[in-house]
Amino acid sequence: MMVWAIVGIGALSFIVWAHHMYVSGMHPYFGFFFATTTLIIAVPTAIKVYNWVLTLWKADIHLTQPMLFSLGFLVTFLNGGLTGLFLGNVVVDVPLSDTMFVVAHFHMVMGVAPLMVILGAIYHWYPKMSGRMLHEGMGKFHFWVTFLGAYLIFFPMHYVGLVGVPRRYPELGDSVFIPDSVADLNSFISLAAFTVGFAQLVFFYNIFWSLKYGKPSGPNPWRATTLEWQTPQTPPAHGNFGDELPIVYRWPYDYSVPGADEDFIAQNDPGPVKKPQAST
Amino acid sequence: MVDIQRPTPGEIPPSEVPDEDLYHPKSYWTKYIFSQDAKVIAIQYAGVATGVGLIGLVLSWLMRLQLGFPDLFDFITPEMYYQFVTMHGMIMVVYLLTALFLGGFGNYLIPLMVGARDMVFPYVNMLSFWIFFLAVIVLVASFFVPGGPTGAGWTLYPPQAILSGTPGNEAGIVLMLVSLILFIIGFTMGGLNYVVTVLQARARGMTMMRLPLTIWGIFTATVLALLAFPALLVAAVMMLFDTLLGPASSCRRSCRWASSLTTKGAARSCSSTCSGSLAIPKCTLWHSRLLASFRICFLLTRARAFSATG
Repeated sequence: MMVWAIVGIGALSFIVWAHHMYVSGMHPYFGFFFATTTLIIAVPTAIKVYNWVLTLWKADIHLTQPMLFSLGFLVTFLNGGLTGLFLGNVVVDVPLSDTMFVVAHFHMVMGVAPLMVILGAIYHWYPKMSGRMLHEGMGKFHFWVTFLGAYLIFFPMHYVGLVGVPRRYPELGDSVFIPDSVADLNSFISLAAFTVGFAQLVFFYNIFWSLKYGKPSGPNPWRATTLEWQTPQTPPAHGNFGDELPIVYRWPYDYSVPGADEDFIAQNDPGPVKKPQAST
Repeated sequence: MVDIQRPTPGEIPPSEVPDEDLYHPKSYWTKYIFSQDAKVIAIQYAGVATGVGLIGLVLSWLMRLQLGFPDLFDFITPEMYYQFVTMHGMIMVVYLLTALFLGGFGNYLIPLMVGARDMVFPYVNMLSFWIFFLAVIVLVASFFVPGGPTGAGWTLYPPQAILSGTPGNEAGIVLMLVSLILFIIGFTMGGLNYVVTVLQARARGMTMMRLPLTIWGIFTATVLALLAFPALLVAAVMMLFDTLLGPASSCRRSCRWASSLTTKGAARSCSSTCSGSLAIPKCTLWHSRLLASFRICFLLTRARAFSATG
């Protein structure tokens, strides 16, 4: 299901491009077509979001650093996606077009959300790459400042856009339709942006600090099933898998299988078939 | 949904290709600098992408300084503001996100997660990184040329991007286009590697539906980029010709005449010899060439796989 959702999003993404130019004077039917394709892309996307949420539902959630970033991604992606529904509709888009609302929307979807993914992925795979865990406290501080800070930057920006502040203007001058609150909000957004930017220094410091002083992670700190966690050396040596390449017996998500000894079964684990043979 | 059947080891088909013989680096240079190991290339990609991403971050600060405190910072002129916007968008989307997700995570995770020893074309993989690095150097160089970097917005809409009045319309836009061209060449090398590795180098028993979703995501994104980037390459090359060689009006007239002919040959020969605004024949020509080269690459890989079997 998830695979087809990914492929579906990929295929549909080739026929949505004109949603950037509803106000360029295009034929209404043209806009109608692209609004339709743009909104249809919400279907496979929703499949993915429901799947993520339902996987977490009633699960035993450990708030580790990668999990925090994943949850941050989910919320941010959903938020950005919802404003996408506004902008995908031609009639709603026309007044919002070329305002800061658009800037806030796409920074939410393709700025903050991918940032959450990248940072989460670094926290997740850093132990495999270095053999050491990143520092927990610094990681959590980094997450909360980045996550909350991103919302302090981009939520006010939606409002600034809604009252009609255009994007790409270096300064607004004395425009009558723009309330005074916009200037204050703009200063506030800037200060939040500087703070979030500087907070990234903690992350870079953490990467170099943990390389030397981090807790040793062992080969599979997250108890994950996929092959990269089953390599003979951590970090993986040249050639990755030692003398013998692994053989794969199962899909990558065999977690909490009833009757299994562990909470996870690695992809290259042949399963209990081998066990009775060994015991007899 | 949960696949809890446990096939016996005998059910996994035997390997179709023998285990590959890796290139073993002999010196520091071939191990860490001009490395052919996907894991080292991944870190190189990620490092350079993050570095250029920090430039993008500083540019966003400069924009926010101007927007948040419009009267305080006199050194930021409107032209510079447009240059910051353009370079921030370009850096973040192309040079940070694409390079980090596919070049960084793709290189590190694909061989490990599909159960391969390395990418299928390690040497091309190395070239991919170094061409990307060159693209970044050219991009950063555009900050230091007369007129500064281009300020045309990250969409670089023609013809406004190369007309006077747009900041950086002399040297800045040229370097931007050259950098994009280099980036696409480098990415195509890496991208073909990712696709072929996922399709051809999976471990025994790793069916496509047993691939982790991480790999499916990287794989799909790479296919999308390989299909979409050639069009951008063509656009960049044509705009570069328009900038450097001028509109070439006489050429355009003859092209129009040629395109009115139905013979494919005339239009082709014309579009391949002159620069100008004749987008369609040229575009198809380039596309067919690129598609042909992709097909050759795929055929070569298949041939490689088959010959190895036999």
